[in-house]
This record gives sequence, C-alpha cells and structure tokens, in this order.
Amino acid sequence: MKKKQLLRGLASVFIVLFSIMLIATLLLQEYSGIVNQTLGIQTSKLVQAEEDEPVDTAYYKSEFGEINETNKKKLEEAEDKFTETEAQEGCVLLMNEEVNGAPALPLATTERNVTLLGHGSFEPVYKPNSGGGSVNRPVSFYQAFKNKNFNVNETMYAAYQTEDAKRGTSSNNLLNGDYNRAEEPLEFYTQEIRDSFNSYNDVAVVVLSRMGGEDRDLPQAYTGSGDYNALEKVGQSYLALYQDEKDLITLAKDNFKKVVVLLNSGYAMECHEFAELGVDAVLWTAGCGNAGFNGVVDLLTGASNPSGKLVDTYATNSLSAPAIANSGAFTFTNAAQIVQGTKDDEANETHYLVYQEGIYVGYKYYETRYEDVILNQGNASDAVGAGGKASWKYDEQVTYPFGYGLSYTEFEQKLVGHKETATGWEITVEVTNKGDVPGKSVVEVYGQAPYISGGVEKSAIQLLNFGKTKLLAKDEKDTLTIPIDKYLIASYDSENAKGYILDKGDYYFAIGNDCHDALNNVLAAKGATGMYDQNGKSVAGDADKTFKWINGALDTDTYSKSPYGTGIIVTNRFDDMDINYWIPNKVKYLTRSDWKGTFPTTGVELSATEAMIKAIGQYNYVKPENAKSMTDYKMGIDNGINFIDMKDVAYDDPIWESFLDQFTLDDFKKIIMELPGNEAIESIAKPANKNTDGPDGIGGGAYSNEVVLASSWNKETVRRRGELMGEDGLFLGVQQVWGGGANTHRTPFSGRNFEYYSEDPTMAYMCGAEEAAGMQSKGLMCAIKHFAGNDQETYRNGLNCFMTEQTWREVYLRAFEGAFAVGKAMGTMTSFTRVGMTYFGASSATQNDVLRNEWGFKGVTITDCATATKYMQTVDSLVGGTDMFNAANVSKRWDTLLTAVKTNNDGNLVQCMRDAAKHFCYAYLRTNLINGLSTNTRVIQLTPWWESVSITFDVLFGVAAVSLTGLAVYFTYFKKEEK
Amino acid sequence: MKGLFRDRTLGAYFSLGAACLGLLTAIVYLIYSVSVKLFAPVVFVLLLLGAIVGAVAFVTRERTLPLVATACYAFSFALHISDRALMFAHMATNVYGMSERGAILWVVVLLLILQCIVVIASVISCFMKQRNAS
Repeated sequence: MKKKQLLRGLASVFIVLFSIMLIATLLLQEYSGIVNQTLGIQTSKLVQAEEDEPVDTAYYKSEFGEINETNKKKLEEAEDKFTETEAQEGCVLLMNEEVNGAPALPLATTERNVTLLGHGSFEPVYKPNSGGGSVNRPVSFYQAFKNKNFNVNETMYAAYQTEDAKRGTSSNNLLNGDYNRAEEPLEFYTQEIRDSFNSYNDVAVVVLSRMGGEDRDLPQAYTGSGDYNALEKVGQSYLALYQDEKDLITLAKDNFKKVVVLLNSGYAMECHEFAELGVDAVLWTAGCGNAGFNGVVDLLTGASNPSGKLVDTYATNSLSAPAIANSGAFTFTNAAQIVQGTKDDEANETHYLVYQEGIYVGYKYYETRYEDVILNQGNASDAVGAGGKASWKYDEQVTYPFGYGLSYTEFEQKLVGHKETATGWEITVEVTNKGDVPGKSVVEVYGQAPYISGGVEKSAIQLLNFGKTKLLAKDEKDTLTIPIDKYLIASYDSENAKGYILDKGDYYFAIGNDCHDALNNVLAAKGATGMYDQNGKSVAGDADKTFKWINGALDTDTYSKSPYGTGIIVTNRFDDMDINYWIPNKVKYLTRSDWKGTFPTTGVELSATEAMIKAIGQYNYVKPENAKSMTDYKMGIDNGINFIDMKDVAYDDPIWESFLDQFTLDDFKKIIMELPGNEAIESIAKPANKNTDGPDGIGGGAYSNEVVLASSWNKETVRRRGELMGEDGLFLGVQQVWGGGANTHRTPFSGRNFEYYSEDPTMAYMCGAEEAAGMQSKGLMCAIKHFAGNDQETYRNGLNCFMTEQTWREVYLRAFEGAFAVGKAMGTMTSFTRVGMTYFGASSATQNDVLRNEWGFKGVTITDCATATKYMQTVDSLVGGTDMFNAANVSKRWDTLLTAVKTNNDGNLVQCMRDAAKHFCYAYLRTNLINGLSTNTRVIQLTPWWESVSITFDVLFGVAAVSLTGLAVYFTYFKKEEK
Repeated sequence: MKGLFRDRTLGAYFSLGAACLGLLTAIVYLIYSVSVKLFAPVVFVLLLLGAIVGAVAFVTRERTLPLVATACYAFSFALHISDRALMFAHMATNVYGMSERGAILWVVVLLLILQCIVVIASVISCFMKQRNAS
C-alpha cells in the first residue's frame, strides 16, 4: 500500500472516531446530571476559610449521628423496621370468617405448616414499575414466613421457580398487550405437588397480584381481542378474579384446613367472590417495600393487630363508577386537523378526558347515590349504572366501603362532646377496647353539607379528619380530640358566588367505622329509615354518633378570601377548563338531582373547534407593552451576598433584589434547566444540588406503596415516613424528592394508584401535609407530584383535562393543597397534562393564582421530565409559573429562552428568571444543601472525570484527524511519492 | 459511459457503493423521519452530501474526496445516534411516556446499520487506490 493511501485511510478512521467522540461528548454533557448521578460523582466541593472561627454548620442533623457508612447502615435498618410498621398499620383485614368456631385469623400457634400458593408468593409485587425507591433488600412472602418460624412447603415454592411456570410477571407485558397475570392452570399442580400439601396443610396462603405502573394503566374490560389469558368473558374487568385464580382457591379449599388470601395489589380488586369460594380470610397488603412483608406475617399471627382501613372503595364491579366511561384513551375526532400546522408530536395534542362525573369520585358517588335511594330522590334507584340490575342497590354495588377494615378486637367509640372553634369545630371521641386483645382504633370523622336540588353538587358524606388511638389493652380507653376545619366542608360555587360557599341548611357531622356507617348515622340523625349495610343487612344508624350545625343563611363571605391568610380573593380562574366553555351545552355533568339523566354511560366524543385548535397548538407569549428591557436589570454584579447569607431572610425582604442582581444569565440557566440536579454557582457559593424521584424512597431503599401508608390512617406514621426519607436525603446528599404522590384514584385502573394516597382528596390533603412536614423537618424538599390532574397514565403527555371548576378545586387541587398550605412543602413536580387546553406548566391560573397567591406557596415548581416534549413550551411555561424544567433538554431549551429574551430585549422574561431563581434559592435554603455552609465558605465547581477523559479523546482524535488529513493532502497533491 | 468505469479500481467501487447506499439511506431516513415527525435536517443533509461527494469522487480524479464523504457520513451517523439516544433510554427503562413518541425501533436500527455500513465502506475506500494507472 502506498503511503498516501495509508494516510488517507488512517485520516478517515480518525475522522470517524473524532466525529463519534465529539457527538458523544456533547451528548454526555447534555445529560451530565444523569451521568453524574448514576456514577455518584460530586460536582462541587466546599472550601472553608482558614481564618474562620469553627461554627456548627450542620443545620439539619441526622438522628443517627454523623454522616458515615456505619450510621447509614443504622438508617437502613431503621427503614426496614419502619416498613414492617407501615405494613402492620396499613394493611387491611377485609374478611375473617369463623373456622371451627373461631375466627380464621389470627393463626393459632399450632398453625405453622403452611403452603404458599400463587405466583406472588415467590415473586411478589413490591412496587409496580415506577421511579423512586429501590427494592434492594427485599424480604419476600416466603422469606417473611421463614423469618417468623413457619414451616413452608418447599416443593410448592420450588415449583413456581421452574420453567413449567408460564405466567409472566413483568409489568412490561402490559406494554405488549399481554395482560396475563393469571395463575397457572390446575394441570400445573402435579400429583407430587398435591402430595406435598399434606405436610403443610394448616393454612394455604394464596397470594394474588395485579400489576400496573408508570406509563401503563391497567386494562379495563376485556374487549375480546388480544391475549387476556383466562379472562374468559368479554367485558370482564382486569381487577376481577381470573378463572385460574378461582381454580387455585378451590384447589386450596379442597386441600387445606384454612385458606387465607393476601391481595398483593395496589389497585382495588373485586372481592365479592371470595365468600362464595369459601375463602376464610382476606388481607389486603399491596406492596410493602423492602421488609414490610415481615409485618404482614405479624398480622397473620396476631403479633400485631390489624388497624388499617381502606382508602379506596372496593366496588363489586370495578367498572361501575361514573368516571369509568370517560377514562382511558380519547382522541379528538378531528385529530388530523389539530395536528396540521402544529409542530408537536400528534400524541401530545390530540387526546382529552372529560371528568363528567364531577365531584362524584370513589365513595362520594356510591354513598351519595345510596342516600338518594334511601331518601327516594334524584331518580337514584334507576337501573342506570346498576350493571344490568333492575334497580341500583348499594349492597350490590359495594363490597367494602371507603374506611372499612377489621380488627381482632372490638372497639366502642362514643362521641362525647363537640365545641365550636375559630376554624370550625373540635370533637371528642372516647374509644374503649371491648375485646380481648390489644389493638388500635381509627376514629373517622365525616360531614354532610346540605344539598339543594339543582344547586351546587354535594357529596352525601365526606371525610373531614381522622385520628388513631394508641395501642389499647383490653378495657383500656383513649380519648381523642379531633379538629374539624369548616373550610373542608365548604363547597365551590362556580356559577353564582364564584367562590367557596356554605349553603343555608343543616350540616351533619358523624363518626363511623367507615364512610357508609357514618352516613347511616347521619341518616339516622335526619330521621330516615330503611338503611342497610354493604351486605344488605338492615341497620338503624346511630344518631348519638353525630352532631348538627344549622347554618341560618347562605354564607359567601367566610371563604371569599384564602383561608391561609394570604388575603387573596378566591374566585373563578378556570372557566375555560369546562368543555362547555368551548362547546356550549356539550356535556351534562353528573348531578345528584338526576342520576338517571346524567350518569355517564359512554365517553364524551369531542371534535375540537377552531378556537380549541388554536389554543392547543399555539403558544402566544408576547412581551407586554409596559415590560422593562433586559438592560433595565442588573446582572452579574458583586454585592457580596452569598447563598447562605439569605438563609433566614424573609420572602418579602428587599435584599432579595440585591442578591438576584448578582446572577448572570448563565446562573439563571443553571437554576432553570435541571439536569437532574443543578450545577453549583461559584459566585454566590451555592453548591451543586441533587434531585431525585420518589415517592416510595429516594434510592437508598424502598418504603411501602403510598396507598399502604395512607391506609394506616395514622398521621404519626405518615409523618415518620417523611422524616425517614429526610434522613435518606441527608445520607445520600439529596435535596429535592419528587414525592409524595397526591394524584387521585379517579378509577381503580390508573397505573400509579399504588403510589398515590387515595381516592379521597381530604385523605390526600392530610397525608400530604404530614409527609411534607416530615421531609422538610429533615431538610429534604418535598416536591409532591404530579400537581395536578395526572390521574391516569394513558396519553398523559398533553392530555386535555376538562371539568368544572368545582371539581378541579374540591377534588384534584384539594388533594395537593394540604402539602403546600399545611405541610409547607417547598416544591412540586407538575403534571404532564393540560388544564383544559393549557399545558399545566404554563397554567398561570394554577401555579401563580392558586398555588402561590391563594395557598401561599413560596417554593419552587419543576416540570415532569422535559427532555424532548415540545408542547411543554419553554417561554410560556416560565411565564406561567414554571421555575425549573426537569431533566431538561438544556441547550435547546436555553437557546429558545435566550433568543426570546435577546430578540425582544425582554425584561419581563428576565423578571421571570429572577422569580424562578428566588423561588429556587428560598426553597433550597430550607434543605440540607446548606449544611456545611458559612458566610465565608467558598464553593468550587469540579469537573467530572468522564468530562476530562472525553475531551482528551476529542482532542487526540481531532488532532490525529487533522494531521493525517493534512499529510494525506500533502502527499496526494504536493509531493511525488518515491517508488 | 464505458470510459467512466474503465480505469476504476475496487476502491472507487467501494466509494460508489457507499454513495449509492448513502443515497438510499437518506431517502429512507427522509420518508421515515418525516412520517413520525422526528426529522433532523442535519442528519439528512450530511448523508446526502456524503453520497453526492462520494459519487463525484467516482467520476472525477479527486482522490481526497472520499475523505470528505467519510466525514459527512460519520457526522451524520453520530448525530443520528445522538438524536435517538432518548429512544434507546426509553427502551432501557420501558417508560415511553416521558418525552418523545413515534420512533419505530426496527426502522431506526435498520437506518443505523445502513449508515454504519456506509461509513465502513467509505473508510475502506480511503485505504484503497481510486484509479488504475492510465
């Protein structure tokens, strides 16, 4: 080969290497946050001034001592122990029949030979697919039984691990249209396996699971196509029992002395068939994190007494709720017209949901309809929504009501007093353990506001607060004093008052074993008759467990202003969220004044109007006429104010302006464009910070599913979870976590119900308040998610959500309100969806008017993952109240923003950047990021090793490519090669 | 026409082959990426430019043109990988709703394989003689 050929060849090789390396370097830098977080690389370090007097800069201290590996182990042990507590407090005993004259549970000490049946017994769902906690120290059901000295049938356990076991267990199967979560057919249980039952036949523990997850809602009714395996009937719900599951239970019934079912599902399954199948006991567990199944076994043995209560309605038919008709996949009929001429991905702009059920979500539907049946009003008995029955009857619709849960003991609850307070009322409840074993009792406090036919919609019963007793020994009493906030029973009137009202009439407050029991108590107080429970058994209700407040006149004043002291008038801000705003009289929302005429039986079909198309596809930010110029703002000047100097500075203090004058445009970029995490800003000595996913952990381990935590009905437990996650933050150096999860279980089929608290907004309000307070107390920013309206996964990107303002405020916003207004969460991750036609991140009405102005939020908002989606438009979102773009496509987004600023000399956008920076700093100054910082601390940005390596190779390959190309050209054209 | 192929070596045919395959890949890329709204002009333009330069190298006596074509192919290839990084990230995590949608895996893999072949063929061509002595 001639020299010039060799040179040309080598030059081409190095050109290829250089191009690939260069692009790889740029790509790595674009996603440097992910790279650094994955490799555990610190990107800044603190340097203390030598002349400083030693000061204690551990503003947030760990209860486990210094931050080191030894104490981290202690924390992990505490975490795992806590997951057992979560399970003990949160798992719900649904059924406990008598076997040979005694309740099936707890198991006797002689019942220790068990056979675990069902795939979930060896491959449980610890958590469906999602971010957040890592199940890195899992205790399976099998291991938990072994830990508690049970003799477990090893033959059966081994069989599930063989190749003969065909059932898929990965949630990925859902993506491929394979909804196979059934159990093995009976043939799988060979004679050898059946023979093994004889030695372990005290109890059959049958574990049944359901899977969903992020980006994967559960399928609803079987349509007759695709592999749905053993769902033999068209129309059968995924949450109903499969034939293989029923066969397995029958097999267990035939071979074991007791059959106990564990429901390892974060989604409310249909449970009515368990009794018919002869199951002796049912315990709902969902996923319990790393070691929570130890706690489950404690519940079975009676080492712990169940005290959890359901936070969702367990409907007999999981498809019976009015929200079902308008959940799932809906596409505008003129999708092609919408897509035409817009720049975004079709999937992000052509889908919608109409929340036609209004406020009647979960138990608010079933219980309200029940009251109307009892009181014979609103056509409530009509067959519509009755699943083919001649008329609607509560006991045929609900298997277990919201708030339901059994115990191994009996409690007596007496409402012994109530009094008015400045914010509402305070009730006193005396609880006595009338049974033989120790236990805890939940006091559930509900209310009923007067409904005026044709007026503002009201639920017949709604949760207002709750409390849990200490562990009560036999005959021991505990007295709980529980406040009731009147605000939580006010109703939002978007038609007339355009604000919260208290209608004229009788308000009832009640305690009850569950929401249905409480409603029956209210009905008794109202003098109604004909009440019955979920089993169809006649009940009288107990008026002594209620009290009444009479409101003499319509009150539109009390909550005309924010109840959180911000002084802001609360009024309509979401008229355009109602589909009737865009298409007049398009939809009749469900009203209890006419169940028959308004119950949604089919989904709303929509064709977007010209105005809607314009609203979907266009972002209309223009510089306001009176806006300042970019040059009106100081940037990059040195006022000598460091990040830590702002620690205790009040939000309204003018010194913030001087502080912000120090920021350069590049500094704003580091704040607004999250990586994940944010780079250090040396000029103000702000260290790099780490942000990560929740809600069930932040990488150090996994706690129980949020739905289990909420089911504890124990505020101390919820707060403790927040505190322990805060401890994780201290040991892992994480400052912001994207959790808890306060979206609403609008239907049982949302893939992420397991990591959201409840179907009830008050429950979410309370849990969010406690968990946020717990996290924040330890210096971990609670960025509760996904604020708000991300109540299903299907088409979540850009999903246009339509509903009334009452529904938006009373259900979906209320669920988050407690975390911000009460728990003082300093962050929130916002929803992928749209508020009507407006992307949530650009919804100033929600983020500025409600969140900041009405609720007094002073923290930082961050979008959900914003790597590529164009509809999450940068400029409009910044103006609409977004402070940070999560895992942002940094360079593209920043170029867009910078171009908008510079092209128009736009001071308004600069002000938005300053606002974002202020929110960011105010929030992060209340995290462990400030640990180690004193006023003279310097922050030095570190270059990650991979960046040095990649740049070195860029240079080497680049130099080689250029040199060899030069030589090749030289020898080709200028030097005659010697032969 | 006959004269066009008379003194061409194997190296020149590699260059022509890369150009033809590059052109074909560019067309497939154009049709596919426009249809799924993931068109990146720079990927397409570089690929097309590489194919044109490669073809010109075949018909002219400019012996360094294959180097230029290789550079175009290589940058187009690298940029295309970069452009689809998210798609592969989503494949790894099985979470597809976070950002982009619409990419069809097998088409992307096919395009990347075609581009890789084009780059390799062009590099081989650079190592080889382009003309027989006349």
